[in-house]
Amino acid sequence: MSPERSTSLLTGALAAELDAGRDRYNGLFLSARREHRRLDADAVLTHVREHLPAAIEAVAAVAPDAVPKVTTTLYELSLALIGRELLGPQAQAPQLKLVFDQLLPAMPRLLAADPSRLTTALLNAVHKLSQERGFVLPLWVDRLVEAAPRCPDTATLMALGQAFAWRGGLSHFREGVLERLRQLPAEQVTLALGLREGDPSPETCLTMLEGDPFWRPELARFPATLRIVGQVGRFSGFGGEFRAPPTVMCVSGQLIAFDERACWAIYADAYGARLRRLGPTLPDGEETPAPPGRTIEGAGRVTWGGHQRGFPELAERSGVATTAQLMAVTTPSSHRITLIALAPEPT
Amino acid sequence: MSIRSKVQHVSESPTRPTPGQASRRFDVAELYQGLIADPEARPNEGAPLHEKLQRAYWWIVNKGIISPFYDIEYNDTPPQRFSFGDAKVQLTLPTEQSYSSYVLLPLLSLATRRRCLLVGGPGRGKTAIAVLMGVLAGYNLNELKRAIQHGQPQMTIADLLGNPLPSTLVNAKSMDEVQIAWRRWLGMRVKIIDEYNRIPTRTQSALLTVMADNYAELYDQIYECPPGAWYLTANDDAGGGTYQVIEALRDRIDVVVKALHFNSRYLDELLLRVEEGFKPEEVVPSQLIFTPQELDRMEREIRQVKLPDPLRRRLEFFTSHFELWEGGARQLEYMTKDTVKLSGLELRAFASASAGKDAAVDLGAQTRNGVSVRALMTTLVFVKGMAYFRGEQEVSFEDIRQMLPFVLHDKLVQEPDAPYFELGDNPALRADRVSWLRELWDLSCKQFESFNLDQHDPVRDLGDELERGLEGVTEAEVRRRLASVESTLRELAKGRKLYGHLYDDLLRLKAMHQHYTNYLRWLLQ
Repeated sequence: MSPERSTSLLTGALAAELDAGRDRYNGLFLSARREHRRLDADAVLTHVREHLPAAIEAVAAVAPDAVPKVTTTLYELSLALIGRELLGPQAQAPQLKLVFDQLLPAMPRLLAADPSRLTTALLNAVHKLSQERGFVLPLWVDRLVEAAPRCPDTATLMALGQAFAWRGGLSHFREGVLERLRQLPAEQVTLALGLREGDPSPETCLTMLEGDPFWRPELARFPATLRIVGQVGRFSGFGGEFRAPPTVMCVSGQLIAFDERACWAIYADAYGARLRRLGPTLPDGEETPAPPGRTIEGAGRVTWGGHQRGFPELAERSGVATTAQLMAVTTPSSHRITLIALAPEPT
Repeated sequence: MSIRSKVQHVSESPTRPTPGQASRRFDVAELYQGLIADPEARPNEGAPLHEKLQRAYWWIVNKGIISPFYDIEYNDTPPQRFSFGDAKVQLTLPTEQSYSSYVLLPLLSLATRRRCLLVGGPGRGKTAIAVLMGVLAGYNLNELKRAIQHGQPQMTIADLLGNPLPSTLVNAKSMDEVQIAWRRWLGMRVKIIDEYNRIPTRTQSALLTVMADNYAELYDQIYECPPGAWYLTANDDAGGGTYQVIEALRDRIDVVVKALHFNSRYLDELLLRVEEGFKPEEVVPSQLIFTPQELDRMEREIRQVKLPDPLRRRLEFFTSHFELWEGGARQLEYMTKDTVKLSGLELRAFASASAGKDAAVDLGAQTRNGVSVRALMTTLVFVKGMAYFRGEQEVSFEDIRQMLPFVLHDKLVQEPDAPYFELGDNPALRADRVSWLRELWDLSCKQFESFNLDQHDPVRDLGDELERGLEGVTEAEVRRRLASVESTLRELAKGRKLYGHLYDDLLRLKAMHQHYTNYLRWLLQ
């Protein structure tokens, strides 16, 4: 790679740093090409020109001493990503550019303090979230960009990122996120839960969320009704989870769905419903019987304590499994699992 | 990334998943893991160190040095075999994760704080692997390079250990007042002695004290060295350096590893390294570097790995073959190769005693000595280390089979004139000691199985009975046990030849008989 070409089109802090460390950056490129024989110099130059300046300039404005370290980190990570064709002209993960273009420039102080940890964490998160079906990645990015200036450190930012992922629909994050939020000050809990004026206090919200998976601060004033809170599962031929209509059961308090190929845990709460692969076999544990007062009968009539409601689409069922807060129902001709719970419903 | 990209990238995937890793609980921290590893991340405190050890191994093999050898083979199903040439040379394709001894043994030496001799022709990377071990132990390269002791004919004890401070030497009224400027390498946890067989004999003796007892002595002053791993290199395995290596020093070496040849198919890789001035020791990923506390913890954890009793029994049986030399004495206890050796005579002067024994059965005839206690202790440490490296809680049969040749390489001295080496394609075993020692183990295990010792081992049963203690044992019971010992001896006496394993059993039975006889005498007082 020619350093002249790399710096001639750049100005500012990044250009100065590349110029000062020309031999080292060229050496890093050569070393990266040892692993990625097809690592293309032009692709690297384009990436450096288009996606690194924003973050480096932001860091230069708040912590100029950190520019060399941050530049080295971003440059090395870029080489690895382009070398693996995750970024660059043949990019298999173009959404990773969001990290360089939007996220990092919004958090220069955190980037200056912890460049390697922060950048790898964000790259991994964006990659992972972009693979979640139905997850709105730009919303997650916006929330994080907005919250970043009020985060004192990388650990807090990462906790908020997890909370935003949960609120974006990753219901299996619920337990872990609530544990982490308990360790954050009220200001950050407010940010994490998106609380507004008039909402209950952060402490109250955490207590309510821990007690009722279908409670949400913004829906607190609405009455709970028996309703379908989500549907999960698809035919594997269309990119889903199941080769055959699944069977459901409750093992040690956890709802499980499985076919002859794999076993999945069912998660659902006020923010979404998900399946998470457990492995090829059922987990260890005893089958848990349905709690008393939670039944589904002919014609799809569900009884849930003092509540009752008919779900005609579930009149013909192949299986049902119930926990204290969620009922999973399967039908013989579908790969979908219908999830029913007592949850607030905005009118 | 950088040299961190090809070279410092360390995979996050488990290196050899063990059953416990399959069904782990979901953790929200996974959001920030997966695609790319943080090059500056340190492993969690308390994370399993065998994983880190394995990552270090795979990093060295894949990115550090060119060692495309898998001579430590593991199989969970019968491997495919291919034959080549008129001699039907065999190549096997292992079905389980297998390893290169050239990388693995130095790494296990680091983990167990043992002494490793790297042998092989010049330019095969013996010093490079030793230096890599030093880097993994947390030393910087300059520090390590300065600490390497280069064997050469003019090397003095002062060169090796240090010098008295001139001012204290002049003013001292007694030896206690002399202060020594000890060489810095003595205080390191990784010690590298390059070309140790070029060190003059007198200096070798000083080195022996450091290696054997972990302290150095000059002018009545003592320097206590920290526990650590040793790496010695030699161009000539057979001790053909400038100076003959003193036997006690050789005996202190725990494992011997050969630096294998360069595979010409990897010349392109070599070319790339030349062009880019690549030096693996300069780019070891920081996540792979062990702290002194981690090294200590790892050594402790290795010692906790269990050796199952049935395997221990096989190891006992293997060891029992080699000490007996029937013609070397009249009294049973002295019928050992050691007796002959101490007399200054040659074993072959008493060879007639072994005449008529089956060459394939008489494993003792293949060696000039027996297995020392030190060699046995080293074997136990390395087989545990091997199991630990693979993430196992218990030593397996294959762990022993794979480690024995490297531990006994220089310790079990071959008798090249033994009849066994004239059979079939066995002559090659005279040169290939690793295969020879592995074959010894296999032959020993075959005998063990043919005697059905797993199921029927009266000497073990009698020993177990004695081990339970004599408290409360009645006279009648003692007499019954004495009769059992005598009847076992009578049974064993029916065999026509005395082999090593039988010899140890006889001595064990005699010792048991004495225990009971003495106890009975006390009981009747």
